Amino acid sequence: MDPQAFNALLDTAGSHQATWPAEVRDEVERLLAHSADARAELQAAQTLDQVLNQVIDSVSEHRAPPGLQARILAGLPADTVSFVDQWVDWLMAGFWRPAVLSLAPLLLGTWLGSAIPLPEDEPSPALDLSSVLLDEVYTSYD
Amino acid sequence: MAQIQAGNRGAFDQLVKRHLNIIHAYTSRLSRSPTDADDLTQETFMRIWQKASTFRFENVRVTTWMHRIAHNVFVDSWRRREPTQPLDDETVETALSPEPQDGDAKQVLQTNIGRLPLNQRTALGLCLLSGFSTDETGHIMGVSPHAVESLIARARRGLRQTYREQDSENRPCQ
Repeated sequence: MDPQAFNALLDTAGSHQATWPAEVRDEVERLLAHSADARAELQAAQTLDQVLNQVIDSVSEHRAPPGLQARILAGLPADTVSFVDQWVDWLMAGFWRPAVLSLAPLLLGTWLGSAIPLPEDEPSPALDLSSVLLDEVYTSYD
Repeated sequence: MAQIQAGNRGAFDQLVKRHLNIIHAYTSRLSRSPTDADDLTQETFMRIWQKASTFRFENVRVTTWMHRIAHNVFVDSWRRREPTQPLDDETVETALSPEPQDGDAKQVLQTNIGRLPLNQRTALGLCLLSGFSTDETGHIMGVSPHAVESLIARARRGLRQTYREQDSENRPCQ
């Protein structure tokens, strides 16, 4: 392994041997055995990891100032989200929603068509007239 | 989260209580100003409340989504303050970095983590300090996972180089 590849390994995987790919560990050992510069890079990487661990601890101990939570909750508007905003947010959250919305009139019409009962069949005036005429024909034959 | 989406303020109160410290830690790392961090945190939770209905459980974890909102709040704030300056590494580094401090190499290293360019500092912080995956960090920052890996590698290399330079300066002559 050349020094550039070793630096790239430290950049991506850090100084912990356990995080290095198994197939390069022997090559790293050989490089470290004869390169003082590689050893210095490794030492710098180990120090960096120690410092990062200290920072991790400080992050986990980080506390927001007292009173901030109350300030956040007090800052919420009484009516934070209008009905229109909620509706627009809902509509924009998925590409399928506008499609479903555009189908809504069709679905409504289909439902109305099947739900509303048709009026009872009544004889049409034309039918009545034909029956009268037929009656007259039958009468004349009689 | 579902209760917050239904407008339950009590559930939102619990969410704030649970995540306040980590969001404040994140905004502090981004802004490096306690006052700004307070304002950014408040704005972040305001947006979380207002945008709760847009959260989708199947897409990302709640903490990832919240960090993304915090990140966007910071970017918006930066653009309001510096409308003509792009939010790139060099500009932010010049604008925000304090002067180098005296001290041993380890202390300088710690200081230099805070002096990293914004994108590198953010990627390093989210991945190594907050424990997000590169995918999640990419989602929060709006970049690809590959870009996150590249930012972290550059951050590590820069910090190592600085450490070695400082270490060699502090080493007594032989």
